[in-house]
Amino acid sequence: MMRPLFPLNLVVSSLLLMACGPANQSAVPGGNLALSSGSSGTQAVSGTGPQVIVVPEFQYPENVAIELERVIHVRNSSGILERTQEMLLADGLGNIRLDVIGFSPDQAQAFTAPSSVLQMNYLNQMRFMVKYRDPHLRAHEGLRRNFTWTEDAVPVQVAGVSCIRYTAKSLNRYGDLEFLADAQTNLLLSWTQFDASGAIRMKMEATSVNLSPSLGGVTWSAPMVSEQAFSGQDDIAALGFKPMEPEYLPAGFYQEEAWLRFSGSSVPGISNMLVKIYSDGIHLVFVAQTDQTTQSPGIQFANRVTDVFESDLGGIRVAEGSIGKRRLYVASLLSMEEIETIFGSIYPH
Amino acid sequence: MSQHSHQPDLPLQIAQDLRALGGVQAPSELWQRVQDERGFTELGGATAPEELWARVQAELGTEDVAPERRLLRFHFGRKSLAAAAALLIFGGLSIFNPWSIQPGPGQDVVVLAPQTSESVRAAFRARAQFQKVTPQEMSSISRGLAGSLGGLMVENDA
Repeated sequence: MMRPLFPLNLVVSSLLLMACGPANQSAVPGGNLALSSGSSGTQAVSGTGPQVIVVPEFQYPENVAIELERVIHVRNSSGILERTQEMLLADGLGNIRLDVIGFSPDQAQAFTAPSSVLQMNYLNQMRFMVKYRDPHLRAHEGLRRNFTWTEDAVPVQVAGVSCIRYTAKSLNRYGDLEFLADAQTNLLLSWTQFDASGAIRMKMEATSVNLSPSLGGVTWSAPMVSEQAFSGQDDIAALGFKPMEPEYLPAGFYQEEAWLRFSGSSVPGISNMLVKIYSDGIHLVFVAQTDQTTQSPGIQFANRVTDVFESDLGGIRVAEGSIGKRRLYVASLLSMEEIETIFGSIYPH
Repeated sequence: MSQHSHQPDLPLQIAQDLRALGGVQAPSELWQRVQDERGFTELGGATAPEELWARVQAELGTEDVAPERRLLRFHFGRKSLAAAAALLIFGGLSIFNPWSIQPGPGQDVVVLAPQTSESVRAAFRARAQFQKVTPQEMSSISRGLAGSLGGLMVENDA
């Protein structure tokens, strides 16, 4: 069922849009790439079997000048793989735009025009989706110790490009991944995330690649509120409250990023938000917290634990609840049990 | 320092002396220094930085740490130091949150969280009462977080 879009949603979404900053620093200057071949479809060609490797390196589409049409498959809370058709535009200099151009509620029905709600979601979330929804290889230590990597020399065609298949087996059983990257440039053109049982959780397939896009007149995604990296003790005054820390992280996870998003000065009633992002090298966990006294001035908050709401939001498990004046949020593709364990570990004894 | 019941490789004397430090907080750079030392053939030949002792003294508010210092110096050979480091890294000492260390640009020094027993995990979960609700009952912030991870509230689109 549709829920009315409140201005608050937009504000909150804009807060979340801030983490994307400039795209990956490994971007190719000028963002120019040349594809290794061209036609359409996805099929194996020839070669030998998979070999164990250390950790591969990819070129991410948002880091090159590109017009990339792709299909995203997402398993929703009902277990159905829904599909969205996307267009990613990037200039290779840090500017990106991601639009939804089609939607199908399953794997069989044809794409239809997306609803205004879905378009609005993309408008608000595009920078985050590119940076956090799309898998990226993060800290090498996590990639090396948490995954077993293999490379299959059998080339596979993706959107007419000859690609190499890489697999990452999660040693902690958070779900394996498969990547297909251009054999010549390592440009990532397809990825699949599996759950612990081996079922597809989310998948991206490029369907059309244009590395000489016409980008005139494109309105690039832009952050709407200010933010800064949260460095810890020195930034607590800026945050406005002392953050709480999880005592537990899933095995192999580490803190990848911490962001302080300012809203108090520009949006009355909305607290600054601290978002910490934890990773095992690929999978992510968000832990966010705000100060409720800013959001609800005048209300007296008991210093106690209240019930925690949890739900599956389009395949992402989220829990939210309060401890006194703090509002906590934990979100991830990981299991709800992991979410609950992380959440509980933040609570006082 | 916190006490822990599982210290398989740590000699009893070392364990007792560590406990004798009471509520001393480890200097924040301890982990980084241990990490640096680990880079040399799995702690082979690693020694505790000299200046740590001054920090420990300051924390204790006394100068009478010489016995522990001497003892640690003598006993922190290769094996013992490795065990102590393992205790710090994997034993769950709560003197700091190792995963709160963030690698800077160009660095790739991260501390991976250890395996946690199911009983401890269950104890964490028991701290809160979780209630399953519909996606529509979650806040806009939760929706935003989910959306940024790809959970685009597709139910809303139906």
